[in-house]
Amino acid sequence: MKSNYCVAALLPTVVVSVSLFGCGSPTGSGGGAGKGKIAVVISTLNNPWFVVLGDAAKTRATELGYDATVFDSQNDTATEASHFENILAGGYQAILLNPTDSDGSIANVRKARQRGVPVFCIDREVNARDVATSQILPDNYSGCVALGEYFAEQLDGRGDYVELLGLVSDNNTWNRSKGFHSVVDRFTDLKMVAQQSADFDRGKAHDVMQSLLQAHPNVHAVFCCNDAMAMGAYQALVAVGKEKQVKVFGFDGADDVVKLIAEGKIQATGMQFPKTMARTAAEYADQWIKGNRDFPQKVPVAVELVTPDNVSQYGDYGKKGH
Amino acid sequence: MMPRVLCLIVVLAGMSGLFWVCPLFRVVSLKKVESAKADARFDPAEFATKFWDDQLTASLAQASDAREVLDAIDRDFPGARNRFGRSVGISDSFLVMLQGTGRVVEVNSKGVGLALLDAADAPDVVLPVTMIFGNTVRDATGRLNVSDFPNSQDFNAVSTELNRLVEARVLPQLRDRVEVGQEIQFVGCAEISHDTKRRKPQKIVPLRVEFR
Repeated sequence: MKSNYCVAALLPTVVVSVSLFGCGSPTGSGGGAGKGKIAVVISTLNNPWFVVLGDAAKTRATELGYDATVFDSQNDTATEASHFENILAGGYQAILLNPTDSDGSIANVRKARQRGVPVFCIDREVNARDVATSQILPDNYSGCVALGEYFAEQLDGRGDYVELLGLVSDNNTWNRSKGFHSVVDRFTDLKMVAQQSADFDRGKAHDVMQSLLQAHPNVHAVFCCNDAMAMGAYQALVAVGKEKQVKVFGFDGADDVVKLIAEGKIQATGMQFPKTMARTAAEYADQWIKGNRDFPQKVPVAVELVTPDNVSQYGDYGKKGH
Repeated sequence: MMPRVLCLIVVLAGMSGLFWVCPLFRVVSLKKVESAKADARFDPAEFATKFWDDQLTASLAQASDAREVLDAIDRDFPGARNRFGRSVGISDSFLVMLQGTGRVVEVNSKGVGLALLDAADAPDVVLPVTMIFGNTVRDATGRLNVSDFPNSQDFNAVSTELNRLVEARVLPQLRDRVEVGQEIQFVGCAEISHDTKRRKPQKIVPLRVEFR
């Protein structure tokens, strides 16, 4: 009789445990045989750079024999959470995540981990060491240190400038901004007259730059935390005929900016190698599915400064010949 | 009537006891909360100073011979990288800790040029004497790992503070005492560029300098 009680008490626990941990768990070798599914969750597909990131991850996962699906979080943590629910219910074996928010995405990654599904973060970080299986991240800080040094050199260490920040909840925004300021703030004659967020968005950057130009018509340069905003700022400058007066500096290595650097219209950008990051994440996921559990928590990917002097070496979101 | 009152008292006493043990809310001083937050906040300056004093100084003896490494790089870049360098993550560049003795052949507002060979007139390496930027010092030691930091902003802040320590502890003596013709013994960090041919003279961020 007593044992019947035990069984009755344990049964629901076993059922819940199996449903929680069993269903989402990947099989040991299924993926490599071409039957596995990998989800690619991208913060927004409203920016060509992220489209490249998502496409590269999907392509590499497909090459490795998986069915890969790309999900667009539309820069919204709730949409990302909804994707995670569907992905975990859909039997995906791994998630390649470009997080929407460094803090806000932690819960989604943790949920996947609890269900036995590994998450590999690409390009953007989550502020926790124990939820993602690995995080493949651009070395934004170093990239923007190099960009800051070039910026100071191009402005001869003096002048007024504005800064367009990305999403303020994203670590990339601050790593870039802090790397840049670790250099330019040491030049006392370089004066930042305005700093405003344009959410990494080209259209918003255009509007923000337009209003900043009205308030500060004599600025000498604009530093943008990504290339989409650099393009938006450049278009705003063209609209008022100031594109030759104001030097534009971006970050990302987007193709349209690399082309404008070659034409002498934009000063510089930092090449982030989105394809390298995406491919590495897909390969890590494949290794995880095949049984490897030993991954570095964070893998910084070097960022290279692209200027008119070396722009011929770059294109197609990377380095030519690599 | 009496039993109902008694019952009410018992229930109220029970609830009071329960809420005493498990209160629905607690009143805490805002000062205490702010102070606890400040205690938990990462202090990159304090971390960098401790790292310099406890670990970085001890690691200087492990630096490779500058002449040997630079020659190896010029002969065989990938081979030198494998033998002497360390890379952080995915990068075409690599980092090294170097030591050597050189004769001052050039002094300008940006740096001190040293010739590593007796007869040479051109500098083989340059020790900067102005502002130090970037992650070379932090990463060349190989003793700090980004994975040990929950937030890359903290990790990067360590770089800034280590650079400031170089500026405060090493550069002044170099700037103030250097003259062409002097011999300087140095230990420092260098980032070897991914370019096919390294830039000459090689920039080395000094961590220790001694005039001989």
